[in-house]
Amino acid sequence: MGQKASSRLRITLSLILMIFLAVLVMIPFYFMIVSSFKSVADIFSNGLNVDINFSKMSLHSYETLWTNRNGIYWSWFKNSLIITVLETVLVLLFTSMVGYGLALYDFKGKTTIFAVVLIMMMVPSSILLLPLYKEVSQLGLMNTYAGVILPAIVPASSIFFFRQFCMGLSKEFAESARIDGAGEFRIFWQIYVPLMRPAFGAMTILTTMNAWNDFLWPMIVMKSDTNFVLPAGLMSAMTPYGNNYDLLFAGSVMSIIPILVVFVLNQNQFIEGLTVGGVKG
Amino acid sequence: MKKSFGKKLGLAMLTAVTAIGLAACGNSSSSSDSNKTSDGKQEITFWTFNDAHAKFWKEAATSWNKTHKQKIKLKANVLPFDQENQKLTVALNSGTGAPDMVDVELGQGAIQLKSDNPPYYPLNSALKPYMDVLVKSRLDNFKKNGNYYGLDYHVGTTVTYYNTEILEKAGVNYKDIKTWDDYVAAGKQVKAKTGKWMNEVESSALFQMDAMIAQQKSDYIKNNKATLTNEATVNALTELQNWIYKDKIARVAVGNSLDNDQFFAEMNKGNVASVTMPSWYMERMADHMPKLKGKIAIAPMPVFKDGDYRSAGGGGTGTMVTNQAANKKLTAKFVVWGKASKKQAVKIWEDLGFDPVRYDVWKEPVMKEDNKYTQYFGKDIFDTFVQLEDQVTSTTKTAKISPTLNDYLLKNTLPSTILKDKMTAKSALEKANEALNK
Amino acid sequence: MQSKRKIDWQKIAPYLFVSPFIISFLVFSLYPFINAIIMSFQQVNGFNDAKFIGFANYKQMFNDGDFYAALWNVVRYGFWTILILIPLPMLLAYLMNQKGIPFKGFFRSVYFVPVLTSSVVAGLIFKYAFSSEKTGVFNVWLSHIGVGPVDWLNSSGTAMFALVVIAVWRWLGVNMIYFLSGLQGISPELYESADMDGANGFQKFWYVTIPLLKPITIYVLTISIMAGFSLFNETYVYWGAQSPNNVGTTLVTLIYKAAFTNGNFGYSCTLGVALFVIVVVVNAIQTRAMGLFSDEG
Repeated sequence: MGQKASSRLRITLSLILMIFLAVLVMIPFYFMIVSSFKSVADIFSNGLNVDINFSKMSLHSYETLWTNRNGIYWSWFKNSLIITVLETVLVLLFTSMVGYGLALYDFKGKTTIFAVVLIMMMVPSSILLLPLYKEVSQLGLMNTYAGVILPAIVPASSIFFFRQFCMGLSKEFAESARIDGAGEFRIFWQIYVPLMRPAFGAMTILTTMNAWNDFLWPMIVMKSDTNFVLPAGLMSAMTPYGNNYDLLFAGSVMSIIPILVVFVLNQNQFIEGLTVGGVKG
Repeated sequence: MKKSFGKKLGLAMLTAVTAIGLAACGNSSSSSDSNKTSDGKQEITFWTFNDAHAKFWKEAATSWNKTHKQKIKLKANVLPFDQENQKLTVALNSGTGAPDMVDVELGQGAIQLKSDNPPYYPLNSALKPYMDVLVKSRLDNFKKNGNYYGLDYHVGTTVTYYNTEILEKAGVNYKDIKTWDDYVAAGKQVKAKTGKWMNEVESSALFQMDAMIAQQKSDYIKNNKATLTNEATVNALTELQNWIYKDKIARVAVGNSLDNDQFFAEMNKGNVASVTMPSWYMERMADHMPKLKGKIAIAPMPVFKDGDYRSAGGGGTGTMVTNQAANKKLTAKFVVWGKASKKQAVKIWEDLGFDPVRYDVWKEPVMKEDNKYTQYFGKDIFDTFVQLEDQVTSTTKTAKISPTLNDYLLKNTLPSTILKDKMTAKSALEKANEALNK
Repeated sequence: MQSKRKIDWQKIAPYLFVSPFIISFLVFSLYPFINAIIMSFQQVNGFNDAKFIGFANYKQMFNDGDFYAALWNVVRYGFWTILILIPLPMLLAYLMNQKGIPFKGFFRSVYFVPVLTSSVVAGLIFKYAFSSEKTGVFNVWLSHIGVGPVDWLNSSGTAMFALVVIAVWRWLGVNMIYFLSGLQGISPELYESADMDGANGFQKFWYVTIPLLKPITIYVLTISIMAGFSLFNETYVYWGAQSPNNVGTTLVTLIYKAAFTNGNFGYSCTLGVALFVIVVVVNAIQTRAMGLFSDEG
């Protein structure tokens, strides 16, 4: 078998597996999109289903989104956007620094600090809720974006990821740059940050996702429901007591879109961006 | 290339840091904690998990301001059901950040009546003028050491809703059904003639069982001890179990309860001939079962034996005043006025579709006026409710042991009796009782 | 002179780099964490009403049948998810990273969409899919091979299956992204030299890709263990706080119930501390075995 033919076969097989998985993954999503064009009454009368009947389907739910409760959906959307952007940028800055420091330097206390990072990563957030609430309120940060964001900007899991990624990078670049007289921060910024692009790509996507999906803490810190984030708002539609299911499906479709945009824009720039050397092994 | 990436990243980060600083300052300065507005209105914050309740209280504040000297500015926040409970629990436990008034559902932890100093303000003095016209058993749900800490929206009068279309096909007249034995006989006829289920049984909720226990004037908690082995409780669970496994007139509810979207669809499709649920189930039917409009008859519950009550009180959401309220006395007055004054009680029916705790209005002609419920069920809904007004007791839901008991029944007892026919009701309840009183 | 200053900076720099973590740890982690540990020895009865009760909460935990049921559930869940959610995304990342695969961006987006979906909505849909009715998606599939209908969510084995399915659906794309980013760090020259040695696709994956992905694999494994033991959302959307015979009870379910249904923050923290200790021990063994603290990890 020729080289070409075997690679074509390999690609075909890969594609078959990828398409198969993609179809499976999309099934629930298909339910969601179809339901978002249906009226609540229809969903409840017949149960959730994917029957497509254009005469009964409309954009009504999407219209309700913008008008319901004086357009509170926009307000949630805006809050989500602000919190997500701020949190993501700060998380990337701080955790890449820490991860880099832990991976590429040898210094006293390094193992201890790394162990603390790992340990803090494993503390269940549910038990911190009450004490953190007390602390944030004593610091006077209740009802501020700072109160929402500050406790979340140096997450241990993200440090761990950057550290792991940097463990794969060679220290030689730093050494030769030092000989050329470069400062330590410049080495980080101009040599290693570009090498860490795939890691930044992954972490941008994942931090954005986490910030966007996390709603309990923002809801607890913020006083007024107009200051909530999108998922919290959507969940308030999902009580057995109201009948706002209209909002729910359309709202979740709409809440996926911004992150999907970040993802689509970022993935090529970051994940595939770098193929230069600089890797040990 | 390398450089521009670093620069871009740096710029973005700088912008973000500046922005967070600004956001932090801007926000904290605007959130001044003065509770009186500049025009002398008392600001009252309110948390609820229900849009409709928020709207109801905003309108209540408007009417209050027309007739009272001290004006109110109501700030209502709608939160998701579970998260309202979490946020409230955290705020009450840390002593800061709670609202002035709040809706708490009976089953939720934030009701917190178990501690000796509940974090709520007693409504006693505010309730005094209305005591004669309120259904007392509904107040008892929120009572602790002689203090009333909450006022419910509704009585939750439990009734049986019959799908008359199915019954007619089976040749059954629901008016002839007086006892549960009659009910089972009718159910067999329905099953034989139409193939439809007479009922479906909850395996993850207790509305049916609670109502059947309460109607026998019994309870499964006494002095904070489980009394699950009493005759009434055993009767109730045995009856439900028999419907499925002996009489074969019911099955386990789709989605495991009668209050979930899958069951709504099941009922709406006309697969179930009847359902016994509290008054608030009218709202579920009117909103989620459009095909049954005009086909549902409301009747008192069948009984086990003569002298049993023909109803019970089910579910409940109290509006409470927290001990962190800025003006506790005024808030308490407002809460009680908002539900117990005559006009407001009528509004509870008109806007929320509930049977108000103030029962003297049940006889008013206004309760027969046209709204989505009278259109759906007919004009004489309250004629049935009025007969039952003195029969709406309920099982204890706010004892210290309540959450544990509830948890145990749903996790162990119902799965081994309703979901699967593994144990007799009696032995399952004995086992539960032993475990809970250990 | 100059070289001396440089050496100083080289010594100080790492501390500056790690300072954000230290500050955040001191300000936002240490106090709440210690507070939670203290509360685990207390009976908390609301505001300003807590008293020390020694190890009573811990004793209660060890006598709590639900605790063991929950532990067994999360161990099984962790086992299955790790068994699937490490090899599959790794393979998928490898396949997508091949030269000549079209529509890479499209596929990546598709796999990533589930994690963006509101967990409530996802839960609603999966509950329908796993309905005990003949019309439930999974029962329809089973009926083609003449099996069922199965009451998925009400018995232990099938309930675990339902949990693993929703977890795989949700996290496949995320783990794939970790591995994809790890793959970018591998020099193409290594594959070229493997090509020259006549290695086939499988051999390249086995001898080049897997070893070089080790740091990222340790990362994914560590967070997967943690996520497994901390399972909550998926069970909550299926069953709420009570599941029949504890089929969906997890440690976090118990933590949640203790705090927010029973108002017992003390016991809630005790369970939380137990969860923490378990995860730390399991991960300590795992990372030691994988050599995380060595220069290679």
